[in-house]
Amino acid sequence: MIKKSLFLLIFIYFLALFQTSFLFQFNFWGIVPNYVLLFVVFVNIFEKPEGKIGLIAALFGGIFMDIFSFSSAYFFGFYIIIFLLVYLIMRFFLRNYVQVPIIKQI
Amino acid sequence: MRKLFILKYIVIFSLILAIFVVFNLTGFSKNIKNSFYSLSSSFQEELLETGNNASNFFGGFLNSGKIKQEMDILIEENQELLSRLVNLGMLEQENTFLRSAIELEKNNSFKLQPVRVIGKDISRDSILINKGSKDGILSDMPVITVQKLLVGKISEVYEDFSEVILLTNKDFSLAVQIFEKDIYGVAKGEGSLGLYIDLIPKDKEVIAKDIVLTAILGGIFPEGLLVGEVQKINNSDVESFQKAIIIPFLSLEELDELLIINDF
Repeated sequence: MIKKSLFLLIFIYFLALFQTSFLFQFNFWGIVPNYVLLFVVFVNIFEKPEGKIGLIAALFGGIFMDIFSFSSAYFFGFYIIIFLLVYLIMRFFLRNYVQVPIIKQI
Repeated sequence: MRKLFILKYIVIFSLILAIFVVFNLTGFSKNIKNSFYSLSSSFQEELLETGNNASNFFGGFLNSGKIKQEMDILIEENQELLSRLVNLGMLEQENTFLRSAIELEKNNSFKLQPVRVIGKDISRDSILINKGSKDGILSDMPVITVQKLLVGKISEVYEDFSEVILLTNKDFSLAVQIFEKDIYGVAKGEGSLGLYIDLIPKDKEVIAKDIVLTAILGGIFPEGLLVGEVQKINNSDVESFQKAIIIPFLSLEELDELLIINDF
């Protein structure tokens, strides 16, 4: 758990850096995907129902996006709330309505 | 149990929110951001530059159609602007010419009509101008430049165009005088842009570089129009008059806009 969390911390740190310094320059028809959010969604899809990795990923994702987004229009914590909300909504739907049996869950 | 679960989440969320409020209000979030920026700045700069280069590179491919379209539009605009520039240049040239013509008309008692050369025939020492009988052009009217250089006279008049024979035409002759000297003669065209003065009395001294002007004697041309410069004198003992070879001032290449003297 600690190992996974540490890995997530480092990975999301670099992913957020990439997102805000490198990947934002590649837009698709004017839209820049939020790769950190996509990663958090990805982690949550393949997480075990009782696991906490999804929550940690959402938390780290939100924190690093808050740190590395330079827009003063958003208050600090904006991304954390969004990511946690995404986590909760996904959790709710995945637990109650969806199962992902194909790939071995994290 | 479920209620307790929901309550737990609500409490956690409220706590997180409270922390954010404190962070934002106290400015502690700025300290956090600053620490992370210091830690990542060098790496971030590299990433930004690499991303920029890569984006430009791939953007070129992705937007090639758009760039091509923009380039086509720019080329079209450029051509249109060039065309306008040329038109403006022509208008400016015409304006300068007309101003000079008005000035010339003011300084002399000529009644002038501006015309444009539309054809040149060097072999016959003649040119075609864009005005004819409709515009009141008549045969034998003198044709000059804005600089008061004699070009020739109208030889043939059509409805909308006229032919002008240059003063170097073989059929052309006119009375001339040497500037500041009381010497008169008859200038005759030799063809091929050549000109000479005949009938210069033997006792008169004409030298090279003397300026030749039109004389009033002929009646066709006003007095004082520039004709050319004496190049060489032929003073043969056998002949009763002197001859002088003239270099005409007019240059066929530069004949573009001319003036017709309607009345003087």
